[in-house]
Amino acid sequence: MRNLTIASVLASLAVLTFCSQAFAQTQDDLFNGDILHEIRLYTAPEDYETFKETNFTCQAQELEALAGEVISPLPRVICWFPVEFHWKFNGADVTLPQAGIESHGKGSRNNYKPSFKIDFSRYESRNTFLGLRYLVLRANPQEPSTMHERVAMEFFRKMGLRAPREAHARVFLNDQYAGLYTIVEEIDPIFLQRNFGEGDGRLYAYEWVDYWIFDYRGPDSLKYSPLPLKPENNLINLDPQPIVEMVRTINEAPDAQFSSALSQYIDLQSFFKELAAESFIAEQDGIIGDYTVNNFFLYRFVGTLRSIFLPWDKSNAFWAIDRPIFHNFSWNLLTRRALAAAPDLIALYRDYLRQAADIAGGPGGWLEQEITKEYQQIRQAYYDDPLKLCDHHATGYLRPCTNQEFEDEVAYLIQFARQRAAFVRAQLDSGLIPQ
Amino acid sequence: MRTLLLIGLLLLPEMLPAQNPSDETALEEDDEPVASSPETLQLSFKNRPSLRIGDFANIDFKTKWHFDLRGFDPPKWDAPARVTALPSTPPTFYVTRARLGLKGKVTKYFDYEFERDMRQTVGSDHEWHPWKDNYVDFNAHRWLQVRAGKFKVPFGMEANLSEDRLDFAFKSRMSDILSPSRERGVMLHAQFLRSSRMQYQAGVFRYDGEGSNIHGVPTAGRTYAARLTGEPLRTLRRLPRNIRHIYLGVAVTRGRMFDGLNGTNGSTFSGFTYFDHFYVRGNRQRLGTELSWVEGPVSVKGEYIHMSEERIGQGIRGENLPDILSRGWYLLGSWNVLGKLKSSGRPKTPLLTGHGFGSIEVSGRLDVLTFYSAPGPGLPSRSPRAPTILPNSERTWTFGPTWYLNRFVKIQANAQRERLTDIERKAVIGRDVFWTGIIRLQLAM
Repeated sequence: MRNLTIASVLASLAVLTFCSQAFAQTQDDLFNGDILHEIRLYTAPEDYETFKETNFTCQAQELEALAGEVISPLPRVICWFPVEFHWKFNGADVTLPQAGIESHGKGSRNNYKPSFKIDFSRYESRNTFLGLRYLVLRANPQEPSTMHERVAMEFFRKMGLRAPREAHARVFLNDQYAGLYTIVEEIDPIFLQRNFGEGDGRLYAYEWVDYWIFDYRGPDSLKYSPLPLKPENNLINLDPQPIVEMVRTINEAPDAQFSSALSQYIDLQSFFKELAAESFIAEQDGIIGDYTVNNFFLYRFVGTLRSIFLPWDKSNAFWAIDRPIFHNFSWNLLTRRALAAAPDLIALYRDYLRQAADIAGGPGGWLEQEITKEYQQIRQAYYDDPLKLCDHHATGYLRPCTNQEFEDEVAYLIQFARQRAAFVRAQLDSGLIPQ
Repeated sequence: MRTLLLIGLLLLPEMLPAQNPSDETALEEDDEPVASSPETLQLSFKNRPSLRIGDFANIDFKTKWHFDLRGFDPPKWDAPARVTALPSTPPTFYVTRARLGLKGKVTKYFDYEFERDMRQTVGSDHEWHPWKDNYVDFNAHRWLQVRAGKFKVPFGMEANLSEDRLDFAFKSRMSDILSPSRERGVMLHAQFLRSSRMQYQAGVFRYDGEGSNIHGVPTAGRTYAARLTGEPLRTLRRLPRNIRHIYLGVAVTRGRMFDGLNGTNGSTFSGFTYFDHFYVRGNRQRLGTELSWVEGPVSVKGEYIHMSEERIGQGIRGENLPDILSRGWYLLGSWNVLGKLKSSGRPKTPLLTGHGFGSIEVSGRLDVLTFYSAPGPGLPSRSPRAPTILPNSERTWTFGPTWYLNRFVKIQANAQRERLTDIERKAVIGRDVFWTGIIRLQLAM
């Protein structure tokens, strides 16, 4: 009898142990950068055909709706499709049977190796996956290493900035290897809650539609939102007026009060830290990129006028080892006015740049170690990828990529990691101020 | 319980001798006689502009106009513009009917009708199918008529009733969403057993009807429909007289759907979708029953429709899924509180064309529509490939008075309250009740 009792207790413990293993997965596990993940998607083959047919129309359709254009009487195309989502982790198959999937990306959008956005709550608003509502599977088709985005976001977080978590994964579509992807955390109210302890403020995604350098376009809020600043939450009760005031302040605040006036609307410490981080990693398509402002989210905190900029899409980072630290500063209106009227902000920017250089380190430093770690992790998966693409110099034309291009790009990244800090420090020490 | 009480209140008025229930032919029968003339060509304006060519043929000119003032709460909204705030739309004036047509006979063998809606021409809203009833009827035998062309698929009492004869400004949500409406086809029909006023209709149609179209595109191919209506209890002499003339009907349709996202969807009158299209493959089948009881100034009408849509191989991994089931019913009561109405729905003492004030009727209708599926594996979901569909339903109250001024003019004021049950599918965040108000001036001739 006693043996039976002991056996029962042991069996119960074994079951509990198994259960705790099976159900203990967390978001940290999903974004664990120490392993190469495996994600399997199942979708009806006819849906995937429709997905490819409507891929580009969906993007145009959304922009039309955002621009408030007259809705065509023609049927609107289907952009979301049901998908069965599986994440294989430590022998467990963590799954959600009915999630939604749509194409993701702007310039990188393609039908050869598309990026995906997964909406776990598409068909049930209370559904989440490990507490996440969305997940982006980035195909990284624009650069051959597929590492720019992940390394950049890792660096941002190392700088103390709030940036999406990322990890690489082998992705299978209907059991066919669809290639090497990056799992990207979406910037949404769940991200905000985790990072700021609140998620009910106003979140906007910047949609690039034309050149904008924070210039004031008049008091009409429609000039700023829903385009280019697309509301991501609180859709019924929008409040775009603080954006108008923020931009007006950037343009019209008196020189003497520029910093104090602007600090009502922007978390300037965070903003210049992000600029410094972007500048350090030579981001070509960011807030002070070559295409004017781009690739960020704006979050305005609950009950305040103050917003914070959050980084997004760093595929064009690591553009050049010798990219100047004040590149485009005199073009963008905010940085131009900071240069002219706010030496305190420029000093802040310099401090953050120096901090960035310290974090990245030189040869053998953190940045090189991170690149090497990721390279070793993904190399075989990249070699196996039958659909790898690249557009190394952002020409706008994606083309099949070779393993040699991958190796060359990784070699360049390591070179960047070894030399960039020294270059940035040299520029800082030179006392260079752009005109 | 509250529902039954309200229905009971609608039925309270005293019972009076029977009048004819819904009967489309009553309109023509109620026309004032046109004086005969020895001339071959005769033009008359007595009931409507009409040209008679002796006994050979006649051409009646028809027109129908609806001028609506409509208000919506929450406001009517173009759903794709999700990112802009709800606009505050003031009550808006619409021309919702601007129809012109011809109707008549050629010899005793042929009836015909041609009708087109011109409201897009007069600048009102978009109309996917401007051509309405356009058909020729061949009277082969008293028990056999053959209709060919475009006309209403014989399914649904309310759906087959001319809009200018409805008790409300708009049909029930159930009829709007589940009935097939007009389609091109061929139909055999006739009255039989005249003592019971029985009528049969059976036809084959090119598609499933404009009512199930998505943006003007058909969702199902060749469709068969049959309907049997009448007053079968008339033969049962032992029954009380006011029971014997209850009008009953049954109808069925069956057609093969086009593969794809072509399942029926549910939306409020103001256009908010609360039940999306699902992927389908296989047959769409409808079964409908109808009832009408008219007793003096009081009438009670009701319908029930059950529709099933197959989902063969529509699972994410190609597995068969349980059918989508849509079920709806309505019950309406109306009471002619002032003045008297003829069986055709025209006032006995008309305003302007007579010496009275017309007639006033008050009506109320409860309309329930539910979408769901047979149980399948897994938890219920709203995914368009969900094995088990999470149900949603709409419960709609409509009420208001109608003032029949004379045979040509009618004014209706209706309020409609729609309530959705699935809080996840609420079309507007924080709202599950949708109000529509309408004041309509109707001119029909």
